[in-house]
Amino acid sequence: MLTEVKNNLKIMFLSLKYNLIRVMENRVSFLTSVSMMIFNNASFIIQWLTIFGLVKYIGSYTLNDVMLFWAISSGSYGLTNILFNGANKIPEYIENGKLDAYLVMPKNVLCHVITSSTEPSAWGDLIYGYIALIIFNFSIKNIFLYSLLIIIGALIYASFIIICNSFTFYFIRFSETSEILKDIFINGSLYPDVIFNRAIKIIFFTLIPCALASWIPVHLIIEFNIYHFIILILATIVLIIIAFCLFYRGLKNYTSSNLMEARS
Amino acid sequence: MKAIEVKNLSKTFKTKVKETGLKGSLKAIIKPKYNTKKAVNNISFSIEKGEIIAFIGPNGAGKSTTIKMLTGILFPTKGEINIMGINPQHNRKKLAYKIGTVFGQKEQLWIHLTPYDNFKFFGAIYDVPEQIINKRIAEYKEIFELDEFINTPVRSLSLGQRMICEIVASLIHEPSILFLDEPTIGLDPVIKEKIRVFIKRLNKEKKTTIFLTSHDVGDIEKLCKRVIIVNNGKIVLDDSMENLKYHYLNKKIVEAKMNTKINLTDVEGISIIKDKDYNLKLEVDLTKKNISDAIKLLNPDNIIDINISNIPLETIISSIYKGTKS
Repeated sequence: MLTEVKNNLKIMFLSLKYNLIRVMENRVSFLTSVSMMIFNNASFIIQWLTIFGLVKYIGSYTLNDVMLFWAISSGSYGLTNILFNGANKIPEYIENGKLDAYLVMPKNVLCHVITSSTEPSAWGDLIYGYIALIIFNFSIKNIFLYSLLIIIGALIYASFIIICNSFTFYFIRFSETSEILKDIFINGSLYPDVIFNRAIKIIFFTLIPCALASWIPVHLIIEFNIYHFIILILATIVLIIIAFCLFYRGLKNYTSSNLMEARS
Repeated sequence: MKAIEVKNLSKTFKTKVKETGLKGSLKAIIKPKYNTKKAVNNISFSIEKGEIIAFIGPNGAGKSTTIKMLTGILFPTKGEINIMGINPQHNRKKLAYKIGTVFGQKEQLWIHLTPYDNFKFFGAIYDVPEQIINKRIAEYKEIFELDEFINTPVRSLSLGQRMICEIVASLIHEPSILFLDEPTIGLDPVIKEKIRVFIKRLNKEKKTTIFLTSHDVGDIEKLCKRVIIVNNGKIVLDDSMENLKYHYLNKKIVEAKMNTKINLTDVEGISIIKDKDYNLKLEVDLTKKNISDAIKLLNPDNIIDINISNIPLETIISSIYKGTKS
C-alpha cells in the first residue's frame, strides 16, 4: 500500500516536472501570460479601494481582510491549475476516449489524469496571491499559514472540479454546467461571507464548497482556531474521497471512442 | 499455457436517438429515446502464449471494443475475461504490467516531450529500474535507428517515427502480451515492413503473444498464423491462416495474352473477369475444373504470355465479411 502511494506520488511529481519543462520551453508566452494574469488580478484592487473609500468596513472586514479573500482564492486557484489542471480536462478525456491511455497504465488513473496537464498563467494567480498577502497582511506566520491553506484550498477546488466533471460519465456535455459551477465556486470564494444570505451560505458550505476553500482559511489567518482547522482538514479528506468515489464509479460507464480529430 | 481466455463476452452500448432537425432536438430534450447496440455479442476464444493472432473484421465489427475490454479499458456487459490469470476488470493495474498496447489512432506519448523523455517516463510508470530502462532504450535505439530523432519533441516527428516510438514505449516494461490496434495505419511500406519484421522478431525471441487488429492484409498475411474474424459483434471464423487459404483458395486467377481471340463464355468452372482485345482474365473454380484443363482450353500454342495467381487474401477476407453481413 505504502509503496503504491509512493509510486503514484513519484509519477505525479514526474508529470509535474515534465509539464514544467514544457511550459518553460515557450519562455515568452509563459512570462507574458504570467504577468498578464498578475495584472488582471491586481486590477480588482482598484474596485475594492473605491468601495473602502466610501465605507470603512464591510461587515466587520477591513480592506486588508477582504484582500485576504483574494489572496487565498487566487493562491488556491493558481495552485490547482498548476498541479491539477488535468482535472479540468476530464470531460474532454471522457468524451473523446482519451482516458484509454491512462487506463492501460499500472497507476492510479485519477492521480495520473489530474497531474497530466498544467496551466502556465496559473503561476500568475499564485504569485499574485503571495503579493496580495505580503502587501496587505505580511507576517512570517501568515506566509507559513497561507502556504498551508492554499494547498488545502487547491485540494478542495480540485476535488470539486473532479466531482463536477465526473458527471460527464453520465451526461454528455455536462462540461458546460461544470464550467458554470466552477465560476460560482470562484466568485463565491472571492467575496466576504458577510455579503451572502443564509441560504447561499449553506450552499457554499455544502454543494459548492467555496467557503471551505476560502472563507474558513481567511478566518484562520485572521484568528487561528485549531478546531476549525481540524474540521477543514476532515472536510477536505471527505471531499477527496467523494471525488475519487464518483470518478471511479463513473469510470464503469466510460465508453471510450475511436474519435479522430473532429469538430466539438 | 493460455495467454488469453474469453468466455461469452458481450458489450452493449446505449446510444441516444434523435429525429432530424430542430424539432427532433427539442423532442429529444423532453423525451429522450435510446437505442441499445450489441457491439460484442457473446464471443468466446482462447489464445496460447506466444501466438500471433489477427483479430479482424470490417469497421464497427467489435474489434476495438473487444481489445478495450481485454486491456481493462471497458467493462464488459457480460462474460469472463482471463489474461494470464488476471481479470482485467478486477485487477487492471496488475494486468497493465503484463501487457503493452499500441493504438494506431490514438497517441499515448506526451507530444511535447522527446521520445527519450517519454521512454523514461513510461519506464517510471511501469516501475522499471533506471538501469534497465537505459539498457532497453539503447537496445531499441539500435533496432529502430532512433538516433536521428530520439531527442526531437514528439510533435515534430513524422507519423512513422511517432508510431515506432509508440511501439517502443509500449515495450519498455517487456510485456508478455502486446495488443496492437491498427499499428500500421497510414504508414509507408518501408516503415510497415520495419514494424512487421520487429514484431516477428519480438515474438520469436521473447515469446511475446501478439494480438493484432488491422485492415492491412499485408500485416495479417506476413505476421499471423491464426485469424479470428468478427462481424456484427460475433466471431464468424476462427482458423489458422493455412486453413483459411486452403478452404478459400479454391479459385485461381489466370491472365493470358493470346495470339487469337478465344470464346470461353459457357464453360463450366470458368468465369471471365476481363476480355479485351487479346488479353483474357479468367477465374477458374478448381472444384469444377483443374488448372491444366483450363490451359488446354486456351490452347497452349495460342498463348503468348500467361500468369496464374491465387485470389488475393484481401478478396477472401472481404468475401467473408460480405457473406456474414446481416
